[in-house]
This record gives sequence, structure tokens and C-alpha cells, in this order.
Amino acid sequence: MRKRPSGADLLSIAAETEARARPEDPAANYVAAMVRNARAIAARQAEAGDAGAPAEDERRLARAIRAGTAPAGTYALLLAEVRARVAESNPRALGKA
Amino acid sequence: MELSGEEQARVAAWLSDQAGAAVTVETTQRLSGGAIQENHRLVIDVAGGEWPGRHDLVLRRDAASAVATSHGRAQEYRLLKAAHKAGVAVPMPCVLCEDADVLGGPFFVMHRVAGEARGARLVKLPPSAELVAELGANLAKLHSIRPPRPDLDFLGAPPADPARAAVARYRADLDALPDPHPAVEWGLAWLARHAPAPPVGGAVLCHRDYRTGNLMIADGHLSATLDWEFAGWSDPDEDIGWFLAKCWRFGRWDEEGGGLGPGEAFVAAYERLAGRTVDRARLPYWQVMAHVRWAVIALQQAERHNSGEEPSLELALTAHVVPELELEILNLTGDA
Repeated sequence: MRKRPSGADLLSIAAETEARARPEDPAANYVAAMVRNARAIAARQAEAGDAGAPAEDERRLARAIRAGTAPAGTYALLLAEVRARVAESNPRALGKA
Repeated sequence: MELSGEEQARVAAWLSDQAGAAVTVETTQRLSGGAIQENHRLVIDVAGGEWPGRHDLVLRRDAASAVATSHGRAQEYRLLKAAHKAGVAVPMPCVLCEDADVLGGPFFVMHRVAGEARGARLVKLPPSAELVAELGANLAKLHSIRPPRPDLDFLGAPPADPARAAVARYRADLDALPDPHPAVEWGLAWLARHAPAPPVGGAVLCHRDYRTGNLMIADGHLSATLDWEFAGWSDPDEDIGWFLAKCWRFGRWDEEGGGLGPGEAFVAAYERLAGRTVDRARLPYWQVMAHVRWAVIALQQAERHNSGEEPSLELALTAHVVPELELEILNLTGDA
């Protein structure tokens, strides 16, 4: 399950935000940086393809972790999943792991 | 949005009542601020009364999108007054208006303090042990504020066990969100298993967002502690752990004191002023707590966009801060 917002939603809100932005706005640089970031994230997600376990599995895993009954190997599974999502959301952060 | 001419007139009239003398607004300017509140620079002239002359002030009011769990302006004002009295570096709070007729909601006015709070800028300065020592001493002054405090009754009862109370609260927060977050649950399970004994002396007033980004620095010195929306009674180690957390070093990973200087200098100065030893072994626990808390907050902010409540690129992007927080949570907790 890929978390929300979806790539399409991200591109959509980025485009809207860009359309509304005015160059004389003091936050213009900040807005432009956010738009670039959003597009880069969406592009990486599209390249990675549809990702991850189905939502029900994630839900079951989350419940098991809270109950203390998560199976062996859960940590490795989480680490792999999270690394894949960091690679999409902010690949620079992988260097600091 | 800037204050309209009408709003300025109403503020001037209200301030005139407070001052007992005519107040004219010389100039007003919207300042950059968070999504939760609006700050406006307000330069006024007071014709007489108790505070005659020109005053360079900041007016602070709620913006449209306040997070449900953060304090409103009236509460923040009371926190600032309490902190100011305890010697914490805060802009001097002047006056609180709870009359909705003036600006449609509560607002307060405080002295304007100059300085730089942006983390990305501050980490470009040379690292400074002296500066982080100031930040440590400042935090110790805040932690000298203990319950009971009738002026701070809106904070609720201090938790007997702040760590376990926080775990319960964040679990409830996750339950209120539509999607599962197993990596954050992993962090919470670790926090539940490793919860420390409650703080000796009980909970104290914690800022709970004491970090680079909320600390205004001018000429190498602390000029103001900002953004009190999350303040509450907690284990003082929570604030120390939050300040030292990796996620708030703005890329300067080696300077453990919020990216600004050595972590040791911060802790040592805190200890000197607090008159107690910080058990450094307890701090990693609160660093995990810091990352979990920030992940939960980021998820809540993203949900405001995802749910359609407040479509916003900025909020949508907060969802993408979560994976690196989860990675840090997993790195800190390890496989256990």
C-alpha cells in the first residue's frame, strides 16, 4: 500500500498551486521549490511502480506490532519497506541512515 | 493577508482603551509565520498614559487552520507571561484581547524581537558551544515552572507517567487516522517497553517543540523562544531529547545541539542551571519519542489535505517527511 497522497493527487495540487502563484509574492521561491519537489516525488513513485503490501496486510501487521505478536522478520520487512519509500520521498535522506 | 484598514482602526481603538491614551497605528506588515498563526508587525504611537511613545510590536492571531491539539492565542499569551516571569527568553507579552469584536478572535500584542529563527540559515553560521549553552540554560529556566499553576490550568492535570501517557496519546492519534502505520507502531511498541520511571519531582512545564527553527538568534545570542502551541506538563527529558534529535539539525548532522553546536555544551549548561544531573542514558528514549511524535503530527497534517479538509501542497508534502522519520525510528530502536 502506498501512502497518500497519490502521485496523481500530488501533481494535481502542485499544478494548482503553481497556477495560483504570483512571482511578486515573497514566498514565490518557497512555492516553486515545493512544486519541484512534488513533481520529483511523483516521478520517482511512477518509476517505482505500484508498491507495497495490500492495505489489509499492513493493518494486520500494525495491530500485531501493537499487541506484541509481530512475527520474526518484521523488523527487516519494515526496514525494506521504509527504505523504498524514503527513496521516493527524499532519497538524500538515505545517505544519513 | 495584511490587516485591513478597518481592522487596524479597531485595533488602534482597542489599544487606546488599554493605554488610556490615543493610539495611532504608524505601520503594519504581515510577517512570515507558521500555518497556525498570523504575525503582524505593528508600530504604534501612544499619545500619553502609562506607555507613551513609539512601540515596535508584534500582533499575533489565529490563522484559519489551527491544529486541533495546539493552544489558542489566549493560552499562548498566558504561557508567555509565565515563561517571561521565570526568566525564559521570550518577547515581552504586552496585552491580550479576548474581545471578538476587534479582530474576530483572540489576539495579543508583544514586543518585537529581532533575530533569525530559520534553521537552514542558522546552521550556516560557525558552530558555537556558547550559543547552545545559552539554549540549555534557557530551557532549564522553563523547566523551573512546576504544577500546580492556576494561570496554566488549560494545560490539564500533569501526567503521573509522562512517557506512558504520551504513548497512549499517540496510539489514539494513529487510531483516528484512516491508514495503518506499522513502522510508527514499531516505535511506539519500543517506547512502551522501554518507558523510563517518571521524572523525580514530577512533570514540569515543557515547551515540546524546543528546537532549531523555534529559537530566534540575534548576534550569536538567543533573543526569543518561539511557538508555544504544544507546551504542556511532561518529563523534562522530553524537551532535551527533542532539541538533540537528529531530525532538527537541518543537515548539519555532526552538531548534536540542534545543528548549532555540541550537544554536550547544551546539556552541561542545562544541568548547571537546573541544579540536577541529566541522566544521559535516558535521552535516547526521548529522541525516539521525538521522532514518533513528529511522525504523528506530520501524518495528521497530511490527513488534512488527504481528507479534502484543506487541500494544500504544503500539507500534502508533509506526508513525504514521514518515511525518513520512520527510518530514523527503526535505526534508533533496532530489531528487538
